[in-house]
Amino acid sequence: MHRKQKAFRGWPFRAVLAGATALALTLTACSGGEVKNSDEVATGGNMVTVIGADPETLNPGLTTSNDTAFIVAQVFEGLVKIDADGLPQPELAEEWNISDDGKTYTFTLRNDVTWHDGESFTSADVKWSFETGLENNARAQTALKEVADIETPDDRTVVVTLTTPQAAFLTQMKVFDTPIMPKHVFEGTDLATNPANQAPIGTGPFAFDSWDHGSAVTLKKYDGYWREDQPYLDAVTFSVMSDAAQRTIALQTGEADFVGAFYLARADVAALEKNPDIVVRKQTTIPSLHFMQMNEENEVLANKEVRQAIAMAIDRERIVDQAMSGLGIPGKGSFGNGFPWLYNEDVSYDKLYPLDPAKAKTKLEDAGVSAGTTLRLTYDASKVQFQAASAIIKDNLKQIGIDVVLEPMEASVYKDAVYTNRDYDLALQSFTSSGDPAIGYHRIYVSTPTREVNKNATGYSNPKVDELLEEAASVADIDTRGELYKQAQAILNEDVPTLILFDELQADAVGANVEGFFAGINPMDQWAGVHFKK
Amino acid sequence: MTDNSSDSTLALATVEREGLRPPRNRFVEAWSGLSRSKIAVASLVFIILVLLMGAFAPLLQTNDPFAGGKDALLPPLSGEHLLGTDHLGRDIWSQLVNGARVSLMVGFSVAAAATVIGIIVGALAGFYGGWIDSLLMRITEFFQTLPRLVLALIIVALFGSSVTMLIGVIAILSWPQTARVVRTGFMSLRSVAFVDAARVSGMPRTAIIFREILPNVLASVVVIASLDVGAAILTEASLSFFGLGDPNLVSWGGMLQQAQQYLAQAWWMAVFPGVAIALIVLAFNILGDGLNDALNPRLKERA
Amino acid sequence: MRQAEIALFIAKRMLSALPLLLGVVVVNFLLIQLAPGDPITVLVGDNPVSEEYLNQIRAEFGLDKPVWEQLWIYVVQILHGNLGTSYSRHQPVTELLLDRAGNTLKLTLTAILLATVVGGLLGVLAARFRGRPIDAGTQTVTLLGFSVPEFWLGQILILLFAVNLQWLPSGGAYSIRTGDAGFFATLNYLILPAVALSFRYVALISRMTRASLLEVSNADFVTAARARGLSDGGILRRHTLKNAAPPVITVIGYNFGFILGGSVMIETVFSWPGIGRLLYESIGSRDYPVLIGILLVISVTVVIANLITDIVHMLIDPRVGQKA
Repeated sequence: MHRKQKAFRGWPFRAVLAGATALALTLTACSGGEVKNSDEVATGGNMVTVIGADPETLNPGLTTSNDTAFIVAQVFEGLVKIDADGLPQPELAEEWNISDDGKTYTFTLRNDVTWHDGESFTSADVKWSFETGLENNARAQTALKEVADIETPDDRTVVVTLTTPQAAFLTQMKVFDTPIMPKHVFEGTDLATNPANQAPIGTGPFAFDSWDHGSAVTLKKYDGYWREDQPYLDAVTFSVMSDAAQRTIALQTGEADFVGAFYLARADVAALEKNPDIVVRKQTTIPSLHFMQMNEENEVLANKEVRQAIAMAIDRERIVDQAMSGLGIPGKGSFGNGFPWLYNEDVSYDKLYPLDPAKAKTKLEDAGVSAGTTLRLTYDASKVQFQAASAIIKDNLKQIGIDVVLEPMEASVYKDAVYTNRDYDLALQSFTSSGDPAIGYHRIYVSTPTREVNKNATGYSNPKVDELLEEAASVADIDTRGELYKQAQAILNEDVPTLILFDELQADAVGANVEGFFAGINPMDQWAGVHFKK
Repeated sequence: MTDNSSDSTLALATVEREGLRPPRNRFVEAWSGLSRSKIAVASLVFIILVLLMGAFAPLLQTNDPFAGGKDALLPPLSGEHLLGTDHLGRDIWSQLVNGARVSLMVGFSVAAAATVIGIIVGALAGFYGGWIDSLLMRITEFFQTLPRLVLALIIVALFGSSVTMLIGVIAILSWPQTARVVRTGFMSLRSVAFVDAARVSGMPRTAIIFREILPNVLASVVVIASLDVGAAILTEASLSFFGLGDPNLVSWGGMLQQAQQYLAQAWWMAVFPGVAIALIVLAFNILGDGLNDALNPRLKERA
Repeated sequence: MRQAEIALFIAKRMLSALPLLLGVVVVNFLLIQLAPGDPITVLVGDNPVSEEYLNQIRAEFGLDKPVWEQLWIYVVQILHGNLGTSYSRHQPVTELLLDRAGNTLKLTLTAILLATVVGGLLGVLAARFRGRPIDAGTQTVTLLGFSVPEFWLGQILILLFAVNLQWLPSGGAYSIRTGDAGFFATLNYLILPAVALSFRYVALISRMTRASLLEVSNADFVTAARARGLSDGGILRRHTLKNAAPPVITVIGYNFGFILGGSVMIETVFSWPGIGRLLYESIGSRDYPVLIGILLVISVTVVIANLITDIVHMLIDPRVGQKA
C-alpha cells in the first residue's frame, strides 16, 4: 500500500483536510474500488497486458491453463463474483437462495444478458455448461463434484442439488472456476474442434476480436454488455511474452499497461515499486500456503518436541524476504493468514514459535536428538522459490545441530516419493486454497490412511481435527465455521505436524495512468470498470 | 570434448606417420619442452594453486558457504565479505574457494573416466581390427554425433542431478576423441611398417610396442586428457547453470545460475565465479597445448 | 571415373548415416521409457482432482499401452512428422519446434557469419604478421574463446552493454509494440546474443585459418611464386586463401552440434525465443515430449550436417575419400 500521509504541523485544518484527502486517495488506490460515476472516467483506449505463452485454445471447457483463463475472465462470466472480503456478489445470477439443509441452491439469473453473437443468455446455458461444457476443466470438476442434479424450471431459474452440503460451493461459482459457456454454440458439436475455440463467444464485457497466433489476442468492447456504461475500454490486447524479464521491461517502457500477478517475476517487484509511473498492488488473491511436511515415520520427527524445536529454528521472515522477494506473509498458523475470519491469534506461531535458535537447540537436546542428525529435505525442483527456501532452511537447521541434505526432484518423482511411498523426511509443498480453506487446505491435515497424492503425507491423524474440519466443510454460516477453524488451530498449531512457512502474496503491476481494477479474491475478473485516467 | 579438432588431427597424423623413433626418456623430454614455454609453466603453477585452494578450502573460507543471513546482496569489500554476498546473504569468497573443489573434482574424474573408456575401446578396435573395429567405430561415431550438451541436460533432468550422475554423463560423451587416437596407435601394430621394423631392427615386437607405440599414444592421450579436464569443467558449469547441479555442493556453475536473476542488482555474483572458471579452463588449455608442443615437436614446426 | 567414385562415396556415406539415425531414435525412446515418475500427475498440478479425470488423460496420451507398441507408434509417428504433444502446453511438439526454429536459425547463422568473417580476418592478420603483437593478441583471444563459458560471456555482455551502458536490450528478440517486424528493426536485439555465441568459433576459425595459411605458405608452389616476384599480398589473395577456405567450412560443419548446444545456453541467457529457450523451459517443467522431440531434431540435424560436411570435404579435398 502507498503511504501518502504527510505531517502538517501547526496547520490543523489543513492537516485534517490533507489527511482526509490522502486517506481517500490511499483507499481508492489500494482497493481499486469500483468507479460508479461514468462521467468521471475517460472512456476508450486499448489496454495492453501480457500472457506467458500462446494459449492452446480459448475454450475454457478444455483447459485450466493460466494463459487461457486470463483471457476467458474477460470474455466469459460466472454466476457470481467474489468481492474484496471474500464474499460472493451477483454476476450472472442476480440472487440466490440456499435451502436449510444446505443441499439445494436456487439461482435467479439476470434477464438482460446476451451472448456476443446476440442470442439471449438463459438457464439452459448454465445447465449445459455444468453438465457437458466444463467436463474437461479440472477446477470446474472440483467445484461440481457433489452436484447430484440440475433443474431449470424456467429460463431464469437454475436449481442445483448437492449430495452433501458444501460450504464453499457458492464461492466456486465464479468465472475462474465455472465460466458459463453458450449452449447454442457448442451443443451437438465436437468440443475439441469447434471453431468457437479460436473465436470464443461469451457474455463478458469484452468480445473476441482477433488472434495473431504466437503474438497477441485482441478483445474489443462488447456494446451489448449488461452493466450500464461499461466496459470503459475500447479494447484489450494480450501480448505473448514468454520471458518474465521481458514482461517487466515492457511495463517499464510503457509497452504494456498491466502485468498480472501470475506473470510478474517476484525478483522484479522491488525495482518496480520504486518507479513512480507504476503502481504495484500486493494482495492475497486466492490464498495459498507454502509449507513443510514432516514425516512421522521418521522416529526423530514423530516426536512433537522435535517438530516444535524445528518450528522455532526456521526463520520464516527471512524466507519471505529472500526466497520470495518479500512477497509473502510469514506463517502465522495452521491455515495461514489468507482468510481473516478464521485466524486464531491466541495460538499463532508468533506466540508459540518465535525465532529462537538457542532455545530450539536446547529443546532438541532435551528430546534426545544428537547433534549431527541428518534429515532429507525434498522438494519439486521446478519451483524456483523452493531452491532458495530450502537453502535457508538448511542453514537454519544447521544452527541447531541438524544436517539437512537437499533433494530436489522432478515433479512426478517428488509426488511418488512423498505421497505414494512416504520416502522422505522433510518435504516442501505449496497448495492453493482454491478460494476456500475447505477446498484446498483440509487436505493438509485430515487423516490419510490410504496414501493419496496431494493429501497429508505426514502420517498425522487426529480424530478431533478430522471432526472439526468435516463440520467446517459443510456448515455455511461463516461465524460458525470460523469458530470451528479456531478450535482446530488450537490443536494443530500445538502439534505442528506440518510447518506453515508463509502465505503467498501476489503482486501485479499496472501503469499509474490506468485505474479501476477490482481487487477481489481473483483480480482476473472485473475489467469492466477499468479505464485510463483522464 | 573440445573444439581443438585441428590439434588432434595433427596429433593423429603424427602418430600415424612417425612410426618409429630412437628410444628416449619421454618425461625429461616433456618437461624440457614444456618449461621452454613460460606461459605453460605458469598455467601449471596456477592449476596447482587452485588445487591447493580447493584442498584447503575449509581453512581459507571466511564463513560457512551455506550460512547466510540478513546481509543479502552486499557489494564487494563490505566489512568481512571480501567479494560481497549473494541473495541469501552467503559470502561469495567462501563459496568461491569451496566451488573449486567440485569443479576440479568433476573435471579430473571425467577426464579419468573418459580416458579409461577411450583407451579400452580404442585398443580393442585398433588391435583386433575387422568387424570389432567397425562396430566400435560405429559406436564411437554415434557418441560423437549426439549433441553433447543437449543430451547431458536431458539425461540429468530426467534422472537426477547427483555428482556421480553428472560425472558419468559427461564422461560417456567425452571418450570418443581418446578412443580414436588410441585406435590409430594400435592400428599401426598391424601395419606393414611395424612388421618391417621388427624384422629389420631385430627388436622383439614387445619392445617396439612399449618403447615406441605406447609412449606415442600416451603422449596424445595425455594432451587430450588435459583438454578434457577443461571441457568437463565447462560442461559441469553449464549443467549447473541450468539448475541441474547438486544443491548440496557449492559449485561455480551453480553460483552463476543464481546470479542470472540478480544480474542488474549484484554484478559480483556473476563476475567472480565466471572469471574463476575461465581462468582454470584457460590454464588447462594452455597446459594441453604446451604438452602437445613438447611431446610432438614436429607439429610445432608446421605451425 | 571420378564421377563414379564421388557418387559411390556419397551413397556409402548416406547409407552409413541410417543406422546413426535409427540409433538416435531408439536412444530417444529409451529415455522416455526409463525416465522415472508418472508424467500424468505432473499435468494436473496442485488442483485436487478425481481419479477418472486422471485416467482420461492417461488414455489420451497413450501412456497405458505396452512398451513395444509405444516404440512402434513412436517410429511411425516420427516418420509422419508427429512428435507428440507437449504435456504442459497441449500443443503439438512439431508445431512448437517449427515456431521457434526460425529464431534459432537466425541466431546461429548470424553467429556463424560473424565467426567466419571476424575469425578469418584475425587468422589472416595473425598469419601475415606472424610473431608480431597482433599474432600474440589473436592467440590470446583464441585461448580465451575456448576457456570462457559461453553463457557467462552472455551474462557479462548483458552487464556491460545492457545494464551499465544501456546501449542494447538485455533480452528478447523484439519489442511487443513493433512485433517481429523484419530483420533490421530487430537487429539491436540480435547483436549481443550473436556476439556471445560466435566468440568460441571466432577463436576456432582464427586458429584454423592461421594454421592452414602458414602450412600453405611453406608449400613449394608458394616458394616458387615468391621466387617469381609475387608480393606476399598477391600470394595471399591468389593461392593461400583458396586453400584455407576448405578447412574452415569443414570445421564449421563438424562443429554444428556444438554451435546448437551453444545456442541453447545463449538463448536462455538472453531470453531469445528459439528452440534452445524452449529446451530450458521444458527442462523446468519436465515436459518429456518436448525434450525428446528437441533431442531428436537436434541429433538428426547434426547427423545431416556431418553428412553434408563429409561430402563437401571430400569434394574439396579428394585425398580424404580414400582413407577409411
